[in-house]
Amino acid sequence: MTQTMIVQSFGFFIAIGLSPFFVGLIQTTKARIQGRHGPSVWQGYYVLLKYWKKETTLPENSSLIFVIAPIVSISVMLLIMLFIPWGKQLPGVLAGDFIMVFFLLALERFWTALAGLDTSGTFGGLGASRILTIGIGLEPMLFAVFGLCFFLTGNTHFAQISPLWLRQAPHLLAWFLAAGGFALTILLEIGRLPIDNPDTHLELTMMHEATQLEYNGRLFAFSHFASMCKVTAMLAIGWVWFGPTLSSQWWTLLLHLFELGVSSILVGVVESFTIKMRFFRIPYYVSAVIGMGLLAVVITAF
Amino acid sequence: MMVIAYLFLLGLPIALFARQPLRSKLSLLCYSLLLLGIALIALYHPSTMMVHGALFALNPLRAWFLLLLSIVAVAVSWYRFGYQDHDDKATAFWLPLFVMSMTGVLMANTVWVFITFWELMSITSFFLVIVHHDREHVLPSGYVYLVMSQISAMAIIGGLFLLVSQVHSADLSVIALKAHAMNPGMKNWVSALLFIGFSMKSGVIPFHIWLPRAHPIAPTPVSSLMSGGMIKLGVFGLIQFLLLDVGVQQVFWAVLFLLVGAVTALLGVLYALMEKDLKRLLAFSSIENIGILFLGLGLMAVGIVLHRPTLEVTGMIATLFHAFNHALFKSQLFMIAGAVQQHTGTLDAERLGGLLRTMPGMGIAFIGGSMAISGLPPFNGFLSEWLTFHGLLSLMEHFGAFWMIVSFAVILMLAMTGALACLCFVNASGVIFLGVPRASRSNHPIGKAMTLPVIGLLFVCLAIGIDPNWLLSPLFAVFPQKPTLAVSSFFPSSLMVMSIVLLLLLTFFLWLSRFWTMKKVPNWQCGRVVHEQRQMSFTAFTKSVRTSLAIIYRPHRHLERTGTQAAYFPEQLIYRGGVRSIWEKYLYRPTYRLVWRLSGLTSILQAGSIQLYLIYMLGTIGLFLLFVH
Amino acid sequence: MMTEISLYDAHDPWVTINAMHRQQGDELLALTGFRDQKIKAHWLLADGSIAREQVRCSSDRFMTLTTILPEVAWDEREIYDLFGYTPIAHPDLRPLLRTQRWPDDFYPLRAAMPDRPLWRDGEPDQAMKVVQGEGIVIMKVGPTHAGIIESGHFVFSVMGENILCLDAHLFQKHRGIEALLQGKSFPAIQPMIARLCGSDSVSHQYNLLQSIEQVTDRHVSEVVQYRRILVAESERILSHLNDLAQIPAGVGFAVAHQKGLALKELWQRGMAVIFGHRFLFDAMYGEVFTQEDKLHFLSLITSFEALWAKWVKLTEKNVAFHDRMRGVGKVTRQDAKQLGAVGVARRATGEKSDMRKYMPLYQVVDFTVATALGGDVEARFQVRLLEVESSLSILRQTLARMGDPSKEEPFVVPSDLTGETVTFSESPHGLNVHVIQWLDGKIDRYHIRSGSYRNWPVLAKAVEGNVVADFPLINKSFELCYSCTDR
Repeated sequence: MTQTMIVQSFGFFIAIGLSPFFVGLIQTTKARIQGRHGPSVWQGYYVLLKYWKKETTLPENSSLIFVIAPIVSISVMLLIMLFIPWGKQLPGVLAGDFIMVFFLLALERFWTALAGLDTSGTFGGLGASRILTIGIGLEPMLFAVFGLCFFLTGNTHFAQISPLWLRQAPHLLAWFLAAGGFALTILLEIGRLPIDNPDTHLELTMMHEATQLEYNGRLFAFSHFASMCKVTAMLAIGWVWFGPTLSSQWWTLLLHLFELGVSSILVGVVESFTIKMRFFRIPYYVSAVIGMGLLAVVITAF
Repeated sequence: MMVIAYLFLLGLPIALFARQPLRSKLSLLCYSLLLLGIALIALYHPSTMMVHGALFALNPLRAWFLLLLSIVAVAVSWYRFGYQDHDDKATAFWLPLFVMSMTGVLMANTVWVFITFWELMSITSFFLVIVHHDREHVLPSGYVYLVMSQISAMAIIGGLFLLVSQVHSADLSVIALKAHAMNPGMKNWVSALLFIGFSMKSGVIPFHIWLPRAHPIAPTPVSSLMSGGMIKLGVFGLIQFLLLDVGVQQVFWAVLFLLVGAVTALLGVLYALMEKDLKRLLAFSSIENIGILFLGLGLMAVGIVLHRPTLEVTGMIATLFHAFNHALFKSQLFMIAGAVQQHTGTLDAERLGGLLRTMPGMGIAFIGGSMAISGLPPFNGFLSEWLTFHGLLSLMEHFGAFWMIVSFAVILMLAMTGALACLCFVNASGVIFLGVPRASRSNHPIGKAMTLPVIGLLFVCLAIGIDPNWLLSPLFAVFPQKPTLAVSSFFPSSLMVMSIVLLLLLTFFLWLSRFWTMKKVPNWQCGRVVHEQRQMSFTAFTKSVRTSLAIIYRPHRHLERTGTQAAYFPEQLIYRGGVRSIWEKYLYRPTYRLVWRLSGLTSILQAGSIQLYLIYMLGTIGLFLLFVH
Repeated sequence: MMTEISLYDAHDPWVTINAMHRQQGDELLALTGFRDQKIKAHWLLADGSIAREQVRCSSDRFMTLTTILPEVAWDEREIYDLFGYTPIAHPDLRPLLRTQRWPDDFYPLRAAMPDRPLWRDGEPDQAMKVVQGEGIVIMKVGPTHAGIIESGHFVFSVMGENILCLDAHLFQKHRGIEALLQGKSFPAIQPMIARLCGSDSVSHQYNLLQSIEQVTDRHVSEVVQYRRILVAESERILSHLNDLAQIPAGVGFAVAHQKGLALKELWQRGMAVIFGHRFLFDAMYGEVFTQEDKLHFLSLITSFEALWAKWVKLTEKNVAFHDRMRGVGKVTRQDAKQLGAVGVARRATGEKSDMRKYMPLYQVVDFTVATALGGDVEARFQVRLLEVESSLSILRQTLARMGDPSKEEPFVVPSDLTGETVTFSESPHGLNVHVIQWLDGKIDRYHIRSGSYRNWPVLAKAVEGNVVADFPLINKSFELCYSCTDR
């Protein structure tokens, strides 16, 4: 129990600390594929430090909502990190389940969108409308995938469910469908191509970034850090569910960190060769993932 | 002890105070507090209060509904001290009667009393809905409500009479004991009638059309009570009579509940999205939440049909808990809508904006209420939706392929509903309370008497959201015969940990941000100033949803260009757009026309001349004599 | 306004003659205002000759042509802003570049040397054309952006994601170049014309050279002619490379974007070596082209073509990319004609409209006019791809035919230049026209009507009915220049 506790706290802090690095890995991978040298892998830390040191100002018409939103984002992301089993198990008091994570993500979306409207600007409102509209597809997707994982393992909790991939044949196919669906879902959730382009500077095409346009200083550091943590958290959930575990908790933690690095690079590769989808084509993307989920359920059911 | 049960009839004399505003408001508040007291005693000390009189009785289930009803009533009657109703006397007269009749419905112990109070409830609420009968659209909408509630009452009466004729007793406690043993064919008839009657009263789709008509036009305290309390009585009826007393046996009923629930939840919120009138939005959102309640009922029905007590209890607790939560935040949101109307004179979201600055308490309460109704932690709505999801997931796991697919589909629809509710309420709170005003107007200040009950309800929501166990513990007495299930098996401690850690983290980062030192500077806004028309509008916010789900909304739009050179140099560009209601177009209009045509046929018989009626009379007497002979 | 409409006379000779040109299918080169209350319209006839129509603005008014020729709407508004001549019954006579800060009686081109006015306080924005209706959001984009983009100010009327109407307010950084040029001599204006903008510089330089050569009746040697083709086609490739690289950026195709920019960089470095300037400023004026330059050029083309083929393959095999461009930002052939689209935008609607066919310079090389059907982003992308290829082939042809450089005697500009010229060329962004009036060796009036200037209204039309998020893509498929529009 104490070991679980120690591994969990270690994993929690290391994963949070390395979040900017993982995003840096994505950026570096993309830069290399584009034939650029690109900024350093550690750029994320410099950027965060820069924002942290800058003076923070608020837009004229904003209210306290504008201040709270990034704080909600960062709190939610840290909380989700806390409920991910970094070793093999979770301390009992943290035995959270994915429904919780689902609602926490919704909470973050709610506040980000609200802050977008709070700036009384067009882009904030447009971004808010976009992220929530996408949420309509995203939330069933999350549940399709989460529900499927639950179904394959019989447990809503993140802990004790790793040996998913050791199941028999029909389940193996379901496993592949679930893993594929999960990958597509997290690309959407963490605001990456083909849905959102985090590197864009074009106000009109932004989604998540559009709600962040009026932020600066500490508040922006919070939301920026939160989006980095989101990438780590979502990738980690994927590995916890679909990846293998090792005999020792410590080795499992190390394995997870390694996997996170690998998947960051993978995200970079995928993003390099993907085109941003038309906004009104996103329903097809969503239906594809939900279809995969349904198919997996049907396969397992019969 | 029996006397306490009759105390609720005090509503009758209170109605007579209507002439003195202050006294009537005060007495209604006292009356509501009394009801709250009765409910609390009945719930938490059932042994002292188990009244089993001939006419009235309370069991834990009814006490639960009485609790939610009385909390709403307390808040509403407090709120009335600040609410300036245009026709206060009529409201003051009917409101105590309305509350009393709802209490009567809950406490009735015979079918006759139940039906009497049910009808009284329909009539009083009708009069409350048409209080502003001089305004446009009020009377037609009131009539739609009256007709629908009478149809529902007929179905309920029919169902209950069938029940009475089968068990040979009008005593509800006898019915509860004997109804199980009815023959299955009769059971289905009773179930069908009760289902139609009660679900019509709850406003599920497709019987929903009265709800968005009646709730918005009523004075705010009334809409709060109707949305928070009255429509829950339909759910109560379904639990008490259909599920607990009669007990469904076919899988059909369970699937029906789930299907109706999922469709109602999804369509309800989809329609809510398109309403720029805040009260209508809230009314449609009530429909959505009734859908979620029906999902809980569906789980309960599955539990009953498949004899799985755990599922049955989960479903019921989810329903009861969500009903309670919805009563809290929906009445709260309605009260805020009333305050917005009083403050600005309009409920049209396209003309509002920036209200957080002029009514901060209401604004914060609305955002909190929006979080609760969207099922976000750390509010209570999150827990009841969590439980509903949990029940659906457990249905997916152990009950074979059929239920697996059904529940998977329902889960997806429920998840989508949650996301849509989030969109809907971010839109409402963002457009109405944030940003800058969209139209110039004069604001009338609103008093503390309106703000305090609203904030109070928000705090109750938060408190329940952090620790629900104290509230839910008495509910297990509903199942005396079922194995005892500890509350902690529904809500793991991690949920509580999560809420508390979340609040701690928020506080910490709020402190870390040092937001009180931040300066306000002009917006970036691409180098231009903030302007009300540059903000996202309510209609535009949901345009993508309208486009993506055109199959449901049937949107229409038209861009008119005027002038002689309209193609390239229009003088004016005018946009018109909107959605059509498929239910009214394809279900209610044809039905209405059919009824109209049928009633036209009767004019052949009822031509209106005295001779004709004399002939009818003679003919009837002749037939009668022939028959007797 | 009503009285002016009643004054409008559709049988006015000014209106009828221009309507006749339009019916014959002539191409309007420019509509130019002059200080002596004259407005001239120059038409390019089918046989390559130029017809000149003119009207005198009695009491500062003239009949509008916009009703029959929608493409001149901006020209007439500009004349109104800069000269104060009122087009009678113009359907949309909002200020184009005048702002509330300009004094009422300030018409900068009315005087040969305008005084510096006393600017007034006022809002920077002009009246907007917006859609009325409930829930319509007015979205203003620019003049400052989240990224480093030129300073356009776009007023969108949107309904959620749908653009109902776009009112482009350019002219945010009006430099008054036409007034600045007045009274200056040929050597003084040479660098200014070369720096009018960064994307069509060569074409502007060519127009100026043409003008001076027409007035002085100078004939340059064949080698210099070939060199001019080289410079012009080099610019076309440079500009198209930039535009081609920007289109993938609009859809988040970062690899194609960056590799495209790398190609452009390669080309630019070559340009710096061969013609002495990365953006080819002043390159057209030079007349020296050594054997060494030729070798440099050939090796540049060779190394470029290898990478180019790869890049084309990268974009062509990406089906999603092409699907993403299809049907977006459609310009119908009718709209293109009515609004006077030129260049790539026009050719992407399937019309073989390429001014190089009318330019004497190009009579010595073979090339086919690249066109595509559809009028959408994909068509414009395709046209540019084809044009880069055809430009490469023109370059190879030219280099092969080019003889040894001969020694040119230095050209001395006579000091008493007088005359009026209309010169045109096909810039990378379409038909670029300069109307120049010389008086005693000095500029008396210099009117620049660039391809970008003509295409902006087409872009605004193309955007209507698309979704907001596609605007950057559509904008990049036109990639119009702000600088030579707002000269």
